[in-house]
Amino acid sequence: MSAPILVLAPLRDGEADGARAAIAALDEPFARVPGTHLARVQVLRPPPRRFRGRTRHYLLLAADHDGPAEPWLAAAGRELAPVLAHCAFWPGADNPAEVVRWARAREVHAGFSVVGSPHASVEEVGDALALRERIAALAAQTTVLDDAALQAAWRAW
Amino acid sequence: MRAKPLTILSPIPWWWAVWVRFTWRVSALTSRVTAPLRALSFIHFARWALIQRWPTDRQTPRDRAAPRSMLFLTSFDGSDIQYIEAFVRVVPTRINGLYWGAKGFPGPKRFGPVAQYIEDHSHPVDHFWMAYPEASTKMVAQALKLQALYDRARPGLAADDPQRFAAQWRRLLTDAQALL
Repeated sequence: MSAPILVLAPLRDGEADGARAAIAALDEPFARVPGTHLARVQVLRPPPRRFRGRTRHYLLLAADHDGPAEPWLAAAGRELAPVLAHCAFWPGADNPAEVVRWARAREVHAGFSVVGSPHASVEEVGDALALRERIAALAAQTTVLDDAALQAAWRAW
Repeated sequence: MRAKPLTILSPIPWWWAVWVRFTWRVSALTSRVTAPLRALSFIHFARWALIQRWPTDRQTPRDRAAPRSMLFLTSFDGSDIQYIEAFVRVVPTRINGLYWGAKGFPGPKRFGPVAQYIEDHSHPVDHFWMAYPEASTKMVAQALKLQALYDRARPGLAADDPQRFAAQWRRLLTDAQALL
């Protein structure tokens, strides 16, 4: 069953552009974080309340993932270190326990959720999509085969 | 990439935060609240969260200019327009239950003002990644159903007799027709 992670961390003053540049330089860090269904990273600036001056910039890291949060946060911290380095109090990616502690202190809890396939893991979804493609391809190839040839095609599958 | 991400930040007053928190607790007890939203079948993930304090960590001084907010993160198939239109047409009551008290929310009845509200309150997603980028929500649901059908048919497909195998294969294809 997938679970959400939402981390909202204030950026150090004047580092919003640096954080955006670091995000733009990312390749596919979440592909290397096991169990990630989907993820986003963005610089967020809340609108200011009236007569209260300017708001700060924040980094939002949000994802839906399988399994426990701690290993996911440690792996994501390692992969996103160039971006997270712009956040206030970022402990560095060297110590996974510190990364997890840092992220947990900045976590926002999702209160209400709608999930398309809530009970399937990334692996199950990937396997099911691959199977769907293979069955469709085999069905298209074997429409005119007799029973023995069909079975042979299946065994060669 | 089929799925599109959207991040919407809605300032809300304290009393609406109380209401929202209450309704989320109630909705956790029954699937009736989320069922019509899931039935829209183009939502991969949609998450709502309350941000009572900016920043959330107490180590950092409070950002007094930042308002109490409701954060909405979603990823969906199709265009923004289709997404908003579906929400407005299909689940206006639920949208009202979430946003009626949000500052500046125009009510869910008319598409134009809702679209404008979303545009005004959405924040660009700088980086978005998905493990199955070419699959729509519907494709994922169909593939999972097909996997279950296949798992059930698998012992029959192991038959040595070609006729028995072919009968099982054709039965599987008939059952799975709508899923391919």
